[in-house]
Amino acid sequence: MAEAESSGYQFVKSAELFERASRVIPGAIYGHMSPTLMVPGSYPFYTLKAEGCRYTDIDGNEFIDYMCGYGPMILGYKHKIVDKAAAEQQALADTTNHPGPIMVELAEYMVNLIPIADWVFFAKNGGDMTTYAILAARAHTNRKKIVTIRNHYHGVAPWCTGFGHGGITAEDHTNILKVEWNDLEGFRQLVKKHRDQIAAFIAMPYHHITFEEQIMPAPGYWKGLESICRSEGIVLILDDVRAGFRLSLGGSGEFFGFEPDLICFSKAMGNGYPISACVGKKALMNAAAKVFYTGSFWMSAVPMAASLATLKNLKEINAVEKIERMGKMLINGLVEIGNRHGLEISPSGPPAIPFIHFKEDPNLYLNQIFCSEVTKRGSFFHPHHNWFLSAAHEEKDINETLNHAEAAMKTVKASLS
Amino acid sequence: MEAAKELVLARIHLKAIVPLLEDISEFDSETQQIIKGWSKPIQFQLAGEDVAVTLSFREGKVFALRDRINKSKITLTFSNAETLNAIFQGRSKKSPRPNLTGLFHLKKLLQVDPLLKRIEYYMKPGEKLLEDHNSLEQCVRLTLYAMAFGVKEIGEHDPEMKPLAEHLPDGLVEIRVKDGPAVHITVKKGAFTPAKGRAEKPSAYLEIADMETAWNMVQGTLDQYAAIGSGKIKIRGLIPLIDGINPILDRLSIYMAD
Repeated sequence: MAEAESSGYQFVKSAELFERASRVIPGAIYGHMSPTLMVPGSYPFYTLKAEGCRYTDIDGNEFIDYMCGYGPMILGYKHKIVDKAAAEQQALADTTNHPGPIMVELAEYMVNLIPIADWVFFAKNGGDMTTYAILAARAHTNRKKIVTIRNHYHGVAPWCTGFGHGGITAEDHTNILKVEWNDLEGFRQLVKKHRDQIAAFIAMPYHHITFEEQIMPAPGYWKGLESICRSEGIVLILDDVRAGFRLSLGGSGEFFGFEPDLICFSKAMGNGYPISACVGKKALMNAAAKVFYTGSFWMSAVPMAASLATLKNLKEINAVEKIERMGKMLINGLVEIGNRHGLEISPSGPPAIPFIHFKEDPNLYLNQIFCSEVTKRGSFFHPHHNWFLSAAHEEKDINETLNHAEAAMKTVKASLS
Repeated sequence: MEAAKELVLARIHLKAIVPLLEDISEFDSETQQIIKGWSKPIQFQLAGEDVAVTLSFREGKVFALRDRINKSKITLTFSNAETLNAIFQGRSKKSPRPNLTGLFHLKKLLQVDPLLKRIEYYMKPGEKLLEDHNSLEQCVRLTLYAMAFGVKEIGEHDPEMKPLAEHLPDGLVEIRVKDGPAVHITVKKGAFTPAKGRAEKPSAYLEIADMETAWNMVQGTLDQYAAIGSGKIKIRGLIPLIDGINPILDRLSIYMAD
């Protein structure tokens, strides 16, 4: 498939800085922000500044942001209320010998906000919490095995990083069992085979895998899982790190109508301030306390103040409803543009966290061209990873993006001729 | 090295490395000189295993079949994988055992070792050889071929990599140097079918900008992540297929480094 020439943003300074970085930083930019996951040459590598739903790269290019920092930004960059709460806490204390009173205040607020939550444990990243959750489940059940969905992402700890990545050994996965998404019978069989050995089942609320179309839970899937877990004494863990607070303020279990025993949150809960949390049911609280798990910055007070302000503001402005509305507007607009150009776009996932594929292009060549071209015109679309909407996106932003998409679609068409 | 891995390495030697003589005989005058007048096929095989490669000789060129043949040939049998690997890696002076036909071609057998040494000449080239662009391209081409066929052996037989390979997406991945050599590998349900040259419609491709970058990549001295970011390597299409093959390629360099 030919890559048609196009005009648009240039990324000269990004490339120069990347070159410098490659001499002193492995991979120059590692992990999920690595350019290897995008289309280098068509994307910025470094951010200069950000406000609302927009950011500016070091070349001076401005983007309407549909990745939101890969999820953390939910109210908008430089959000006045959140930043004010953080600044006020900063003026008092941040990382000291003890937690601040804000820790208790935030925990109480979350226990009231999230129906299944009787307690809260704080850390920094989503991966801190998924690992903590399986440790708590093992402590609670005195069992070793963990069931995960094939290809679900739970962070970068060895137990959940695929064999083949640097430093991961086959033994790291000794007690990890895999089942396919939406395969309730497969889970039932696995439980039968390993009866009284499985400590926990952990999954994301729906199937959102990089490079793939998102798949929602089949009717009865989560309820069925919940029922098996209850009858077999298996702890049901919801990894809500990516979707949490975008579908429902009570967690995605509330959205999909089931009750996890533990829920892991991070990303959106601090609007960009570094914080994560695991919430759980009373029955697991004692076991959770027995897990020795900590980090130098996990009790820092500033992110907790920011998180409390974020959660309160999300509720106050009914952010979930607005984010969904903006997501629908974007996706409907893209589908319509595709139709107008004779290219069928297949959206997937909830509107707040959408992704698109071009029908008849399972290899993503068209995604790579389309998303690059939209990005080079000023709206940041990731070609391989689900997108994120925020409460800072307004109709005028979506309309501007649809104009970028309209122009980009012409390049996609040209690549097919 | 444990027995299962010795066997995988033996498979790599016989099915990915020895067949390179086919390509080397196309341009290497020393190889052409060694095989001058040869007509009887030579079959290399591993005792007790279904692993063999047969070299045929026609009009001064080598033709490799990654299998046994039924017609009359010289057969060289390696007693076990460990011995085979030690011989190929120059750690043993032992020789494979010839069959009766081979005993009638002792002079020719003495030339097998120098013939195999021509592979090493290009696979582990000296700096001087790499200074010449054409030679560099030949080295890159041969290493890419070895990689493509080595991936098959590892993906299908390495006890740790096999489960990973079985979960790769089906598709066709092409690895190419811009305006240079290329290989492609078809992956279907954990089985690999490698081939030389470009593919018509790859599901994914990895394009290396120039020969120097390609050489560094195949030698494992390139930061591939940085190279992709800087545009020295371009990947497009079904990237999980490339991502999935990458650890298998890494494993190949570990095998070959031993």
